[in-house]
Amino acid sequence: MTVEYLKVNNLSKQYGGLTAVKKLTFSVGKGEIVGLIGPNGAGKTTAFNLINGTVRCTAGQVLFDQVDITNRSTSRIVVAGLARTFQSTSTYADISVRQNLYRGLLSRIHNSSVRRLVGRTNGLVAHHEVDAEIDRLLALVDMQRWGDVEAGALAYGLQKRLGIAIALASKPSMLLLDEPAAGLNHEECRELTVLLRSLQQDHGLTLLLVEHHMAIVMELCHRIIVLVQGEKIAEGSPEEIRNNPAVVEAYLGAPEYAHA
Amino acid sequence: MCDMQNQSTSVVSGSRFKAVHIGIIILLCLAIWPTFMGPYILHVAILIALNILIVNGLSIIERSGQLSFGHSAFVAFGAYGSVLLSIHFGLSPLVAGVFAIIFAALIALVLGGVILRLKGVYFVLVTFAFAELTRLALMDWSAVTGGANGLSAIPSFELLGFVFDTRPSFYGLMIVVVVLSLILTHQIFKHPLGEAFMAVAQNGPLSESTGLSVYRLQLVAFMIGCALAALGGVLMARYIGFVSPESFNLNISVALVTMLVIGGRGSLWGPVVGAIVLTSLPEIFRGALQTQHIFYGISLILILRFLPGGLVSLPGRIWKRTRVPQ
Repeated sequence: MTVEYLKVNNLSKQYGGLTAVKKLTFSVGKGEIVGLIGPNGAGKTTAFNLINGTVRCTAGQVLFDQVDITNRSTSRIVVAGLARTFQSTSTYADISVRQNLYRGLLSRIHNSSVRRLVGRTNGLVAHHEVDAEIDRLLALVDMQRWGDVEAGALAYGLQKRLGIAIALASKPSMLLLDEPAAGLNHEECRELTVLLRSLQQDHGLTLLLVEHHMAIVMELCHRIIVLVQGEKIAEGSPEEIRNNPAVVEAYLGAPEYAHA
Repeated sequence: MCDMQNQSTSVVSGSRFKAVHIGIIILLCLAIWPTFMGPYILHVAILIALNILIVNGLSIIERSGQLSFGHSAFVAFGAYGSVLLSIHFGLSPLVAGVFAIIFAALIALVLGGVILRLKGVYFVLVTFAFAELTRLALMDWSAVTGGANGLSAIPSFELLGFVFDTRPSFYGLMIVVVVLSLILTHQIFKHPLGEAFMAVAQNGPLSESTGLSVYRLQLVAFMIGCALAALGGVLMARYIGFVSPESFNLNISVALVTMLVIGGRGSLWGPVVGAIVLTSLPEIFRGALQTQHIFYGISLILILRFLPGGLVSLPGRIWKRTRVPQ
């Protein structure tokens, strides 16, 4: 494995008597694509929320690029370079795609009070470069022709793709993707795979994805971590996970599903 | 605010930029009309201008995603603050007013710093309680505030030796202040700061996940909004010449929110329309003062049910409907 970029140490989250995440430990190397899988209620999204500061952890530590980001505010974590997408579509529905992306990069606009307010010093763009940056983001997710369309009027798959573009607008070095393929058809899944691979290979992004679509996980991920009831039960290459009896029993089930 | 000097990007519509100037010109033309209509109409016009200023502040807070029911407390800080500073420290109305506005903004910073972690109805309830606490404090601290009797014989506003002691002169001052406050609001929402306010209002988790701090942005909006309320209070005290705790009771906070909702949230012109309608109509139906709150309630229900964008959205909706058959 390459240099540890994201390191999660004994991360736990307790809601009263319920332990949503229990002593979760794993790491993601720079430039890696790692999958986080498990049945519904396994604590995958909670783990995401703990890593990116949406939810405060009960115990444990999160290091990103060797900096302790445990329980920092989400905006500070994003400014540090760790962004996320959401399980359901999350856009500013009543404005255009371009305006959505403009809002996505507000914290990066040089000489703006917003940038000073969030204390951002990296990845800045000058005000006159904003349009070019939006064009670049649209090209990145192949949505140039949708720039002036209202986000809420887009098809579901395009809204999901816009969600990724909005996350990319904050210029992250690592992206947490929460079920990016949920609700997508076969063709859209194929396009998503191409996009995510391009983000990793051509743009050097590190990706951690939660996904139920096993074909995408197996095809994209270098390593896979399996969570069941808040605990890590296995970690390894796609091949190792596919042939792990505990994982097959707890999550993958039938062999044809595991080999999908 | 350095980004005020920046040019807007092409993602922000240019037509809105022209519309605001046309709107201000129309408003100025309409604003001249009361000066020819006698002292009573002029008095109502001054009250409308004061309400535009105060509701404009409320609108900025609302456009960042929070609704304050404690706005009247900050009007009170401006009014009492400026008058007390003049009485006890001999400051001129202008200097006392500036200090009172800064004081109100600092209170907003401290209060907002604590309560802006709350969302939705919880924030509304705390601001509601804060306004009532402020009124009770003004009532009980009679050695300084004059208690229920309030403070009277407040001298008129004075600027560089010119005393605004007549209705026409004060009205002129109000027109300038209102136009400046509208230009300030327009500038804020034309630039990244205003866009960030709207982003956190529309989708807090998404904006936070792009690096915008919802908490800090709402705190800034709260401070600006409360400072505008305090400015309204400073001018109101100087115009009416009398302040008492009852001038800032919960009915006033509710009326301010009603003006905003009926005029139109999320729009520069909403506070203008709301203040004009809800200040002048109760004056017209003054004989039926007891029915004023019923009028407010019914208007609020009707607007929320049939016109959630407020009266200001009506022309746009009519225009859209007439275009559909084509």
